[in-house]
Amino acid sequence: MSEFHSGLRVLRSAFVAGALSMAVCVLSGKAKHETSPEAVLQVRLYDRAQVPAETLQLAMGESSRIFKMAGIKLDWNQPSVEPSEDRGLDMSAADARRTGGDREYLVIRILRTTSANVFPGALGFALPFAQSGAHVEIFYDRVLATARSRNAIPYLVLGCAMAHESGHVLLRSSDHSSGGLMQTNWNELTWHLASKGLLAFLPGEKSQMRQRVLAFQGSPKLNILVYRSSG
Amino acid sequence: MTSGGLQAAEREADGLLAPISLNSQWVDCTAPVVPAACGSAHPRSDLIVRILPKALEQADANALRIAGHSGDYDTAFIFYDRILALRTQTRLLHVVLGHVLAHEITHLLAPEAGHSASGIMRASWSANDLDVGGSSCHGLSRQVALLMHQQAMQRISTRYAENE
Repeated sequence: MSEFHSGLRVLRSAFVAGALSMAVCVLSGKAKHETSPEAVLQVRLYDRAQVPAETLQLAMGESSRIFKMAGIKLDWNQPSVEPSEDRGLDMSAADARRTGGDREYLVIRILRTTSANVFPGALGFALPFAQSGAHVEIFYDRVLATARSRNAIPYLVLGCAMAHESGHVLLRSSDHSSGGLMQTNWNELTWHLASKGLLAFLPGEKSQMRQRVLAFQGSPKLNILVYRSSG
Repeated sequence: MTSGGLQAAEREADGLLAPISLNSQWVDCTAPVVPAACGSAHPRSDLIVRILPKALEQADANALRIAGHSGDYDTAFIFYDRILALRTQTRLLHVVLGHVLAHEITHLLAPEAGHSASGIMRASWSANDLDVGGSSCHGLSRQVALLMHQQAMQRISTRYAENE
């Protein structure tokens, strides 16, 4: 089953069946990039699926763990009010490899149900070049279905799905790798490795994503934090 | 106060402090989406500005602000009620607040410099300083400007050392 997709352009081409040549990144010791400067990516998460709180927290933790191994710290926000710039989808940018104007944060939206003809079989999709709205949408009904069919824990499936689609955004690509977290088709073995925490981004992907997050942050600056107290 | 009003004041302060090249950025920690920089474990090298609705009891009767420490952080407290009271048709709110911000950032980065006879570090400003098209300038001595710049650079270095 094809479970991950990115961008509208690859809707068809992503459905590649067959055996996987899976490269698994086994974790050992401290990740190379866990030192200064810290790469922090702000993530705005909108849970439209009303995912059980514990499942959501654990899924966020799983995504954070995966990105931490790439030297990227995820800073999660769940705004109660959705700012206009985060609403909707910017599909016009699916094919346009635009430069500049990129948002320095990630918007993930979890939807409860999805029509069967929307990205059939996919757990979600990414719009790496979206300049407004969600970068990533996850289909929670399919997360639950996959968890059942793969005998996996729902939070693990959700966490991996968010990490995979976010990877597309940071890599600015709808392409998939032949192994690791960014592969297209996840079979039983893949999920088994994921459940053991043995699935990660490939080294080249880690480096590319980290550089991107650091570029968001720009040159080091002195932060002046301003707090406005209400009356 | 609105975030737009705050941003206008920050731009005003940036203009006053521009000659010092602080390489700083304002982070609104009460925005609807809280920036990552405002997390609980942010570095001690960050400067904090707290805009309070009313003046603190321990503040002098006419004080617009106090610079000091809050926990491990160098913090400026700004009294919004007193800033509002200074506003007139020609003395715009963001201009007054911008001057106060620039004044307090200077205190935080160069506490030993104290007040001066002219410029933004005067202990109290005249109406002319704050009116539209008024005569105010940063008016900091070269020594104080260098001290502030050095302090800012040191804090930026510390910030990244703390992350290691």
